[in-house]
Amino acid sequence: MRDQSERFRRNSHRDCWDLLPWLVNDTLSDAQRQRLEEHLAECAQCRREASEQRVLREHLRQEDSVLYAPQASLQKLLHRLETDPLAENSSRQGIAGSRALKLLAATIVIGAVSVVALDSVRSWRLQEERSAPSYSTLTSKPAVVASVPAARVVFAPTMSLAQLSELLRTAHAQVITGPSEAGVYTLAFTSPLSTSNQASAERETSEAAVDAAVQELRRNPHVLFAELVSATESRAGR
Amino acid sequence: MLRSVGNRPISANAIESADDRELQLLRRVARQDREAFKELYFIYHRRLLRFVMRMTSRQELAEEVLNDTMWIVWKKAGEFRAASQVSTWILGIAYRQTLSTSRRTQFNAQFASASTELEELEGAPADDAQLQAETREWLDRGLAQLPLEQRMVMELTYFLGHSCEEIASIMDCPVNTVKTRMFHARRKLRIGLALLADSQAE
Repeated sequence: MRDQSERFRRNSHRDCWDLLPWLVNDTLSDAQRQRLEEHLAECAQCRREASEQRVLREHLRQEDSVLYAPQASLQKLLHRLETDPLAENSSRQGIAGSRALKLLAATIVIGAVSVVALDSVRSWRLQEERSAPSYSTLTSKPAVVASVPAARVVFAPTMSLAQLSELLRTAHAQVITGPSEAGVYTLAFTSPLSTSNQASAERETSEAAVDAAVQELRRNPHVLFAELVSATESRAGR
Repeated sequence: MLRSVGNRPISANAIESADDRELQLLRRVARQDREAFKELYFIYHRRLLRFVMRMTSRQELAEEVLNDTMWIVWKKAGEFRAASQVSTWILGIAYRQTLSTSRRTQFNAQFASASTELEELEGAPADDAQLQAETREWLDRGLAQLPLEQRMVMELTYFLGHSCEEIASIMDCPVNTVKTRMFHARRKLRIGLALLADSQAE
């Protein structure tokens, strides 16, 4: 170790001088620091340089005039993550492909599922009508939600929470299920469109009202897909 | 690349646990976890903004570089392989973003036209507060006039407190290049530093 320091002393004034900033910022390895301290003990020039570098360090660490407003900047960036199609991060790019493609696929799947579901619902309802007992028990689940016409909706991924809230408020709608894996929400419509205790004639009216609401939803640029789920269909589907 | 801080176990633990924590956050970011991303953003906002501001001197440009940097962090989090510290990786991205923004906007031009009065300071008596203030101003101008790479080495060393090896990793260059950049920067600031050191010693 002593031989090493001797050799270092002979050749290393410049090496030490170069490393002084990192002695000052305290990031040298123990061995490096020891060598530098030994050199400083015998080199006035490096001692002076070290003290000047300490002044520089203090100067650079003083308060600055930078304005720090992380929230505002973060909001801008989050908005960019929401709206830029390139925002998919690398772990998902390979698996999922582009968001637009996914949405298209989701819409097709919904369409296909709806057709299949309607068919199976019809045949299942026939069976149910044949086999269902003509009484109900106290423990039978009241089909509150199912007796209300609803809507299946897919929203644009760029839609903000505020826009969604506004849409639900103006449509008098509530999210009752969803999002499904394909991003489908089921919306129920509250008063003034319908209530769960309406007579069937009124229910038809309320279905018409929901249908009108669905038409209205389709006009909203944030709605990619909207369809009516009639009360009987949604009850059968449950 | 862990710092060798053998006889200072507390600070060593602090550095390692901060890096561990950031690594956990980054792994969550790779899984599209926005809460983790926000947390990482808040951890890095101040030091990145300050670091970039030192290079650009323009707040709005610095904010832009900062967000471009964190945008890349979001997109590439899954590619981080823990071969370096999270902080070194993120600062490396910030460094490259700053360089490319510098080329695009040529924000360095404003520094070239700023005048310094190096000679005026030399030999002046260093005995009052006003001179100290003037020397600090001179130092700021001197720092601003350094080539971008030299300014970055200064900032990474003295404000952000990185080791020479970490800076080499951030700037993707040999350790000797870091030392050479620092060497030139120190030479250019020598006069002001000597005055300031003298006036503080008195």
